[in-house]
Amino acid sequence: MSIRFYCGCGKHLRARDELAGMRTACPVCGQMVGIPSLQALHRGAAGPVSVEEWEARRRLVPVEAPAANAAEPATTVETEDTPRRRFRDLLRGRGRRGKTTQRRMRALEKRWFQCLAFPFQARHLILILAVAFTAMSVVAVVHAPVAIDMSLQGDWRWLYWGLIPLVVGGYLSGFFHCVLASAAAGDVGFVRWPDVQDLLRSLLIWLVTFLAGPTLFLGAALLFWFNSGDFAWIDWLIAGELIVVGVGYWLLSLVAVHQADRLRDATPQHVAELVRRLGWRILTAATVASLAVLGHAVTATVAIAALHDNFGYGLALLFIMWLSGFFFATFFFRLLGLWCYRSRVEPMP
Amino acid sequence: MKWARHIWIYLVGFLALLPAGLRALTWQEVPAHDLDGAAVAAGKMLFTHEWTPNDPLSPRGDGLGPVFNAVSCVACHEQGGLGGSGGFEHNVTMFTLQPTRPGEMMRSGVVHSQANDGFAESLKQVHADLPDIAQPVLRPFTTRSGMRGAGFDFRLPTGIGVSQRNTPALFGARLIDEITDRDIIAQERKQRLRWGLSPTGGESKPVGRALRLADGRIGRFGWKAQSPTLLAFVQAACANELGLGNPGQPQPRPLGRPDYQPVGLDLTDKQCRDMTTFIASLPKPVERAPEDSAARHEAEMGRTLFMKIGCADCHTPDLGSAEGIYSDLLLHRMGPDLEGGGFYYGEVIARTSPTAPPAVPVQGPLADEWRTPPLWGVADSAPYLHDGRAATLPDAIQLHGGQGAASARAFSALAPAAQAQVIAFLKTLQAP
Repeated sequence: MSIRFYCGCGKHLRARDELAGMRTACPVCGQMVGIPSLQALHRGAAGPVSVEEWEARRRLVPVEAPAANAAEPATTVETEDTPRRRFRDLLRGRGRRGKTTQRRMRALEKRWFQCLAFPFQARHLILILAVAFTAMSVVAVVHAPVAIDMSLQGDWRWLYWGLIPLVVGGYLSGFFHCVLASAAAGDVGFVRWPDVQDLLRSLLIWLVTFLAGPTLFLGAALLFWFNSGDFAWIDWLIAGELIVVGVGYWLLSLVAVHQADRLRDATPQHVAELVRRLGWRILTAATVASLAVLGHAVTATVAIAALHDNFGYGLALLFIMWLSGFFFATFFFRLLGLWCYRSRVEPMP
Repeated sequence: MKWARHIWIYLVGFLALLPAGLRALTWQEVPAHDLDGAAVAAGKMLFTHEWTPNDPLSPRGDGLGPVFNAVSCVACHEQGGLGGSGGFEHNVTMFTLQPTRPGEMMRSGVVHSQANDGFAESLKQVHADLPDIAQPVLRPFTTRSGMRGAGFDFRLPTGIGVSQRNTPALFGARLIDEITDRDIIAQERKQRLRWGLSPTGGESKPVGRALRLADGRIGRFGWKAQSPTLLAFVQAACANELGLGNPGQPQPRPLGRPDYQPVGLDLTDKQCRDMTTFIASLPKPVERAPEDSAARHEAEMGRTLFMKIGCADCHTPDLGSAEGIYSDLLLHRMGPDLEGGGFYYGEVIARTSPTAPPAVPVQGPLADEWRTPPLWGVADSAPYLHDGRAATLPDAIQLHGGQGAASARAFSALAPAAQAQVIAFLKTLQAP
């Protein structure tokens, strides 16, 4: 059995099943071309993608077509009017509850700025997460002294110091994991709500990718901050560089793992390969993203410090920080995921 | 072109590493004191010398006085050996005058207990409503509700503050001097992080602040952390306690004779450095575990409780290179009952000589802010707290207010046997 597909030059090609999801050079025009996958590219996807579906999607979403004009055709989905369904619809931004809704097939974003629309599509999810994380941050900060006092009895400390990082880290990584996986698989739809398996799996991925490199830079930045006294401008520069390199490498490492959904890809070699394949644009994007993370982290410290003096101001600043952070990160992971997808299934530019 | 791309890579790499390289070149370590034997001997002689007016050891100055609190260093620093702490009778009395008009600065100073003929000081010279005495006696009291405190026999007029300072021990001063400013600031950051980025100087959470001086150095010596180095501390003490003006600190002017002009400096720079070298040579206090195994176990349990009830939040066992110091050297707010205005060398610490370092705090300590006193040697340094109002260690713990109130409450909530264990642990921290 072989997979039938065609190149951007119009030549119809065939490839063996074991090459599914990989890239090859077109024997006619010499450009790299992606071989369609027979498997679901990420957890929660609709199922294995058949050759016909793959080809149908390419026909429906022509590469050259602007996103706004490529919203055809519409598909009709019957739904049941259950509370769970309504909640899921709400999260997915489907508008009217319970009734038969129409879901438009959208085009994949072609330009980077088109990805800015994606966080708006996932606005309900982002809003809920921002509210939840703001509340959790406030509880952690305000409740911290009480929690430390509780450690006198020693009964609740493990719950406090174990559960909060697990929930915060799990949902943070789980949400972005879904965004990245969805984009890397070329999904056009909305990001879905991560389930418990997603949370644990993504938490593991983020932890491993963090420990496999970024921890050195970020640990060095933390140690430097602790042991350098009052910072002069040069110290801010050094700490900023360490954080930017650490966070940037972490992001690239995450993308490298998501490329083939293999944890063992969190190595410098695979990250270098990713950079080589996607070019300087990914380095630029990672740097910009790191600077944004740095900016958000600074805002978070200001907001948390303000909570002690001016609770309302601190709360508002914290909420804005989380909202902006989720918005930017959703945009960024969408962009990175799509770049990965394109580098796999489309001719290289 | 390939070579052009390589140039860009090297250029970016060079620029990225440049700040770290520059920082490495300017990274400063505190040099260890060179303990010259001759300087130690000369310093010891000066430390134990009983000064007199027009003393032969200060040929250019007026010698002892005209106002002073003792005639020698060792007169006060004598508990537990040469350089130890002082008893209640050696307390130094100081005053603060709140500004009465807009734009006026708060005034503070010392009312010296002794003086040469014609220069005697008294509280009445500070304010007409105060008694005509130089050293009032601080009396501990207990209110009907069980609150403990200490006060004077007279009522203080509005805007006037009178408080006292007990003589601190000098053991291990060299190790404190060698702690880097970075280590003290790191401690401040750790406390802020631990308490949810709480701002420093709050009234309840034990988040202290480093006293930053105008020249960027961090204060670490004295009850208000007013001196950044051991040398500065020695110079200030010589001037204020003995009336020995020196290159780092002029001698105080008598309250009754503000126009008094000293004939010259009493101490040379070398004499100050010799005395500093001698104090730096004093051994650090020791932790002596009891020989009896049961008592040793009690002390060990006490150490665990000491950590558990939050004492170690401020009395951190190690700070930088000083192991066993049991202090973070930060200023902590200790509540209204432990207020004591001014930072001891208040009026004279300001830059008065072109050669003197600008040892002026950027934000001076508040009346209830005190540096965490190192607990090493605490067993041999009674009485306790800044004015010696606590005669015993349990009293000292229970009198903690403000940022130390939670730990004091936790201590009071312990069973008597557990409290005894904490005290047993503290008793192992002895003078050398």
